[in-house]
Amino acid sequence: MTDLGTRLAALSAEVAQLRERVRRLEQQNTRLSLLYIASQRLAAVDSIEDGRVSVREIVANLIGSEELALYECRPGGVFELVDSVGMDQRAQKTLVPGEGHLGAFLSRGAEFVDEHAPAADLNAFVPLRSGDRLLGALFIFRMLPHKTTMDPVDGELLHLLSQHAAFAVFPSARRVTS
Amino acid sequence: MAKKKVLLVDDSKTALMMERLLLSQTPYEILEAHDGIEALEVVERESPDLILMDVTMPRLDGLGAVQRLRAQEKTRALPIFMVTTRSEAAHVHTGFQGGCTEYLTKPINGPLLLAKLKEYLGD
Repeated sequence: MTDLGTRLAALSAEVAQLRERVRRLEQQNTRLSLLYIASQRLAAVDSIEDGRVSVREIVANLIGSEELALYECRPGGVFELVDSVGMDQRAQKTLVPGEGHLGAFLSRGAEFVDEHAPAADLNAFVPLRSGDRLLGALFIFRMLPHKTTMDPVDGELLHLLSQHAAFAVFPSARRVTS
Repeated sequence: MAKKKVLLVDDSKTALMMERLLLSQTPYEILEAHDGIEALEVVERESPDLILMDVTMPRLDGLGAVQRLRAQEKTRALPIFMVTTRSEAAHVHTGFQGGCTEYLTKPINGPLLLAKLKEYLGD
């Protein structure tokens, strides 16, 4: 009986380990799927409008927010609003680096993700670059109500946007590379 | 034996890519439509076994499409999962009132969706 009990306990432990392994593999599979889809979507855009739709879709369907604003850097360094979702009239039309809460993110230029405050006023700042040049910025405001945390893969998706979305959404990025 | 058919209805290329990739692990045949009108046409032509339906779409939205499907005898009991970014109680209530079978939110939880498909369609 004791031997049977020991074997049962060992089997239970093995089942628990396998379940944990399956869970991790599912997480890894999800992560790779999300990154693959985002990169494929950005690579396949056929116009600036389609590029902006693709960014909106990636943020809504893969990250989980329908409140965002996209700014493009104009000559002179002012950032002008070129697209927004769910912001009504709240999105500022222009931003100046160093001025105000959002302008401070522009002058710092570093990606920002607030993992623990899904209901905060600003959940992510994504500088959009072509090489070392800052061509624009994506601000993600409130997350969807059921999206209670920003997962590590959300940070990876935002980093992918930071590195690769500028070409899809800004005419100036296409001029730089052509 | 013929494969079970799943119809994906969404106007977002990104959402369709995500659903297609998730379902590529399943034995089901995948069909696509980009709005409610096209969905009704595909249903008429292909008789899918289950539908994943977005809500906000041009021409005819998901709720309108579900209502029309529920009004027809042959699609009255067809499993239809709403897949949407809207999770507020009022939206969920409207979805079930309109006749959806399940209500799933985006970003899609892959394992949950696959488990639900298996529940309704089997392996």
